[in-house]
Amino acid sequence: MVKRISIGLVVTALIALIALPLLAQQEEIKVIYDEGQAEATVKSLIFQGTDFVYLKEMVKLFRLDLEWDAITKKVTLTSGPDQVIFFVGSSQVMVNNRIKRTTQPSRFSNGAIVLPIEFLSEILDGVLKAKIDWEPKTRILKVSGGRLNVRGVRHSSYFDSTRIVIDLLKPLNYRARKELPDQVIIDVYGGECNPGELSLEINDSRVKNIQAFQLPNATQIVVRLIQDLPYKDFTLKNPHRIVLDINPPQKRLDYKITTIVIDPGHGGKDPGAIGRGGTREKDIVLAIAKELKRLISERLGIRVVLTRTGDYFVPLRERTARANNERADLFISIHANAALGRARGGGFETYFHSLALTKEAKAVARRENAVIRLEKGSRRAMSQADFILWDMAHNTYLNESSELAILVQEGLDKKLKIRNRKVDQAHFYVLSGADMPSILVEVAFISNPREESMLRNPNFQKRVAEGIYNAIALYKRNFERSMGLVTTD
Amino acid sequence: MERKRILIILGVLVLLIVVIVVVLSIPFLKRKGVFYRIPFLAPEENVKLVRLYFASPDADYLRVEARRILREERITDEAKALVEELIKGPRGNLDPTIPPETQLRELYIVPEEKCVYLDFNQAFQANHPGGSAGELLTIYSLVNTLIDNLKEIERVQILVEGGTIETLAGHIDTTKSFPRNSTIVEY
Repeated sequence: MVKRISIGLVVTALIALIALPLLAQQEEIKVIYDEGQAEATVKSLIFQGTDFVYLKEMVKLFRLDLEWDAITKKVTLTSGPDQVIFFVGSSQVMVNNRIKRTTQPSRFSNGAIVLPIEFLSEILDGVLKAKIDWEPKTRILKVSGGRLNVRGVRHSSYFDSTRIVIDLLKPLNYRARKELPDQVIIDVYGGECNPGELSLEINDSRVKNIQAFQLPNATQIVVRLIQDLPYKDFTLKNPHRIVLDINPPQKRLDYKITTIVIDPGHGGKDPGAIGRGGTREKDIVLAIAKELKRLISERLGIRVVLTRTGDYFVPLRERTARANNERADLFISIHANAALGRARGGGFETYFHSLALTKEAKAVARRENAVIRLEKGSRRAMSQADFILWDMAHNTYLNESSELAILVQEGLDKKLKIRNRKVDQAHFYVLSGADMPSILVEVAFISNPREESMLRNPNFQKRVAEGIYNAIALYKRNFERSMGLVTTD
Repeated sequence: MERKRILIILGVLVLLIVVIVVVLSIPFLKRKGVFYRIPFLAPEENVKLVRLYFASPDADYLRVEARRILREERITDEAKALVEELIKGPRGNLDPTIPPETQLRELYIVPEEKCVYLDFNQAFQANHPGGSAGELLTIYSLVNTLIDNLKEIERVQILVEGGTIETLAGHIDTTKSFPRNSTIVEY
């Protein structure tokens, strides 16, 4: 009898033993930077006694660039010159073309990719040039070093000027000066960088190259010019960055924002999106646009033109053409969002116009332009210089538009209690003709019944207008101040 | 005898409890992703495993739903089948991206352009909910699905009733063909 009971017990215990470790427990991991200078927590899942962290969180935490191929399940992580490639489900990891292994493979959990914790301490630490230690007992991840505060340098070439942007992790003091006529030196005090990553060959008609040096207390960035050209420098926020314009446009010395065109979406025969309660997008956005016009003209004294003042149809192209004719400094299109499906979305988002959305689109454009040139019989594939020209022509006002989009998204975030979705870029038909910084605001989802009733509420409409107004006021201040700081040697 | 019977009852009870616990924990385990299925199981000869892009419940991103469809001889038929599956909508917990009344009138492939032209009926545009998010999800669910599943295809051009349209509902430019977009995909 005792024997049977004990057999029964053993069987139950066995089943329990097998079943329990299969349960993935949701836990938290504490991340401590540089001996407690900063802290963060990340989620983890425990599978069979091993901690797994979400790839998405790690990308954010360590500021990695991520590429994901849904077909092959290939993940490519980039941090400066270093590259980590792995396939989800495999424990092999390619680090800068050398194969490493983790004891547990990366895997999916509810559609999200999770990595075994040793991926951080064994693989990422080398790439990030940081020391990452995992203490399983205390469930603490210690990270030291590897957090360079001068993150990168990028540039855009325009017809008359070249803009160089230095990305910072946090605000840092700096000084820009010329020691030689064809050389601008920027000292970023307290800057730490990886000089190789920041050095760039530019070779447009104004700038030869950029070279970075790590000094004991500062990062020094040397911009070599082709000839003696004026420059101006200023800082921008979100993300923190230092901007250096070589040969800044002279006529903009006393630049002011004087005209803004506001475009209430749809109208007339085009009702826009319609909510389940019958609310029409065209009516709501017109009310918001009118309120926004009132705020801007009363408080900022700026001329505001609406693309439509009543319920009538205006073709998309005519809207931006109107803004061009009015010589507007900003074009702001106001819309209400919609989607198919049960939840039907929710929240506000701001878009800016962009042609080459993604690396893929750029690659295709590059290839296609190359083909076109070949077809014309010039037998010359598209050169780097051609591509820069192409890129430039399609990226005018990209910086300004994205700046404005970010400010509007922040402005709305302070006024609205619905979800802050994102700032995004897309190729908008309605924005593509605009010869000025332009954005499209989707203020809420009319297809979501809860947000539909909010949109009908005049108080909500007012808050939306105030959020956008605050952003425009801030943009105007930032912009005119930056333009006023010109030093033309 | 008596003790034996008690023991049997006890044994059966223990077994029952174990079974109940296991059964009850299945949805929980599923939620925790323990039953992670490898999507690449050897497909039968006349069946093809395809990836269909549908909208996430918050209309933020596209996500993949794997589905088995009949293998087609010709690539145009395969492309048609993919679009039909997208129109049918998701089976799992994702959201549809194309109005259900939509019909694919015709589909052409231009091999030199590596481009597939999709010609829809008026309902595709007329019944579209509108919104920038809605348009982006519709466009790229078609674009990414076709490009991911057909290695001959690099671009997708949308047509309605035989011609190009400026936009679906007033936002995204649909006059030109689209390449794949991975930034709208949630991994």
